[in-house]
Amino acid sequence: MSKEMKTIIFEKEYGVSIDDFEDTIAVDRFIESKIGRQLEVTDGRTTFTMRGGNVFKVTDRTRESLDASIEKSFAALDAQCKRLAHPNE
Amino acid sequence: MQELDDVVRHVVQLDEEVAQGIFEIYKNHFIPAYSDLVVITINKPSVVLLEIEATYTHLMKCFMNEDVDLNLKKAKGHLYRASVDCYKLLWEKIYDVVTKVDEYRSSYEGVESELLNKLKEMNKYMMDARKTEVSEVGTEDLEILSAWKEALTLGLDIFHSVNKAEMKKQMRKSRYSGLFPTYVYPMVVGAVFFILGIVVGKYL
Repeated sequence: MSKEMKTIIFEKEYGVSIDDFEDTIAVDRFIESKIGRQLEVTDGRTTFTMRGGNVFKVTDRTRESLDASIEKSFAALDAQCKRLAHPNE
Repeated sequence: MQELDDVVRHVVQLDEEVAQGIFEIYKNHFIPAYSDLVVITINKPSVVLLEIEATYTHLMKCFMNEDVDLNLKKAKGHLYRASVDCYKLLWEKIYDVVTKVDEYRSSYEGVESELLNKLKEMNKYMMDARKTEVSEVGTEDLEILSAWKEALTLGLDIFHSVNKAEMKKQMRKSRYSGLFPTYVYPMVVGAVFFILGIVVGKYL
């Protein structure tokens, strides 16, 4: 019987065990070796990077803005469920 | 400046249960959630880094002998929120595709009859997580993390079953097809009447 995975996609994608990764630095290094470049800090929404004296402030992205975006996504998901359940309405 | 001996002695006296709790969240929840996020974003989102920074600050305060129990608890709270944020950011990255599957149905390559059930189940997990999060502010309920994990397992399954190139093609097509009835047809009709007006005005 296979052991339950702690990750959703990481272990499946790369065929490794997350237990072999001590910290985020180890995860970063592993992914960097796979993609062939260094990971950069982003605000999660855009591709603007924030490393090396970039004009975009790190605080531009807050938990509040993330939560607002998540609320919006819940509404979209709920609307889609309704559309699929009642296609003729 | 504290002597190193004092620091070491103090760290040894840390509340074992709380310290164990931090390690449990770090190893079994945060690292897995972070690795999943980085696979999808291929970058490091700042929201998560800010939580890690806050965790680190509270842990350092323990070494400085500042209200150790309180700072350990705060460190644990930040690490927990960083884990939830990883899942939220992952969802944010894929939701645009997942919530548009029904509009661009031919781009979906999964089993259509299972789509609605998967979406409904996903919706339920997310709502449960959100309800607990909102009703118990500052909660560190591990059930929220499990609910997000379950929801995202389904979400990623749908996301990977969508032919993104085909979806983009259909989106572009529907955007341009919408332009004709809204802008192009009225412009053509307007131009025809304008020319007719000139012709009629000139010869009558």
